[in-house]
Amino acid sequence: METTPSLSLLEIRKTLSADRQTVFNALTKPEQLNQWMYAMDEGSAQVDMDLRVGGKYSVAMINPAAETVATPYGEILEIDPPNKLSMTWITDGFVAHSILTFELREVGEGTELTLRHELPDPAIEAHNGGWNTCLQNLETLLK
Amino acid sequence: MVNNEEHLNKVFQALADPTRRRILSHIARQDASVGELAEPFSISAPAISKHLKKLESAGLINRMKEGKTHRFRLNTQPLQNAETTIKQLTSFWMQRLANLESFLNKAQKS
Repeated sequence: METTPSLSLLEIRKTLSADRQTVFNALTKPEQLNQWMYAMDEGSAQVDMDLRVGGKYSVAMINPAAETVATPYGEILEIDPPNKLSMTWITDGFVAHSILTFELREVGEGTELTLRHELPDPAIEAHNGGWNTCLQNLETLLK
Repeated sequence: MVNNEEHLNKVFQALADPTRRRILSHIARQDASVGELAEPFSISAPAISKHLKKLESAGLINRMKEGKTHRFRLNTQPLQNAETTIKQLTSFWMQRLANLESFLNKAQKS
C-alpha cells in the first residue's frame, strides 16, 4: 500500500549490533519495550500493545517516584516483520497527529534502524524537501 | 502549558500545508496584502484569505491595517518554538535509541 506523503519532522539512523528480528522484537514486545522506552536507570515504562494493523498501543512513562509523566499512545498503521513498523504517535495536546515509523535494514551482522517522525499531509508531494528545509529557508530569509 | 501545546499543534497544522508554507516564505521576504499574494500564487483572493487566517490563528503572521488594506507580516516566535519542540523530540528519541542499544547489548550477553 502506498503510504501517505507527509512532512518530515525528524529522522534518526542508528546501527545496532543485533539482527533485524531481534531488533523488531525489541520494538514490538511489551515486556522488552518496558525495559528501554523510558530512562533505564531512573524510571520505567509500561507498554500495552495490540500488535495488529488498527491495534492500539500506549506507553506510560513512569518516573522514580512512581508517577506517570507522559503517556504517548496511538494506533498501528503498518507491520512488516522484521522490516518495518509504523504507528500514529499522539501525546495529548502536543504533536497530535504525528506518524512514527521504524525501518530496519540488514547491515553486515547488524541492523540499521531508521526512525522517522512525520506529520501526515495528503497535499504534500513525496519529493518535498520537508520540515527542516522549510525552517532553514525561512531562517535564511530572515538573516 | 497546555495552551502552549495546543498552540504548537496549530502551528504544525498551519505549516503542514505546502501552499501555506510558500505563502509564509513569501511574507518572510516581504510584507504583503491579499491582492499581492493572490497574483504570484494564481489562487483566488478568498482562498488566499483562508490560508492567511490559518497562519494568523497560529500566530505565524500578524495583520496590519493600513486604511482599507490589510497587510501581513511574519512573526518568527512560533517557528522558533516549533524548532525547539523538534529538538526536544529528537533528543527524546536519541535517548530512547541509546537505551535500546544498551538493552540489546545486555540481552546478547545474557
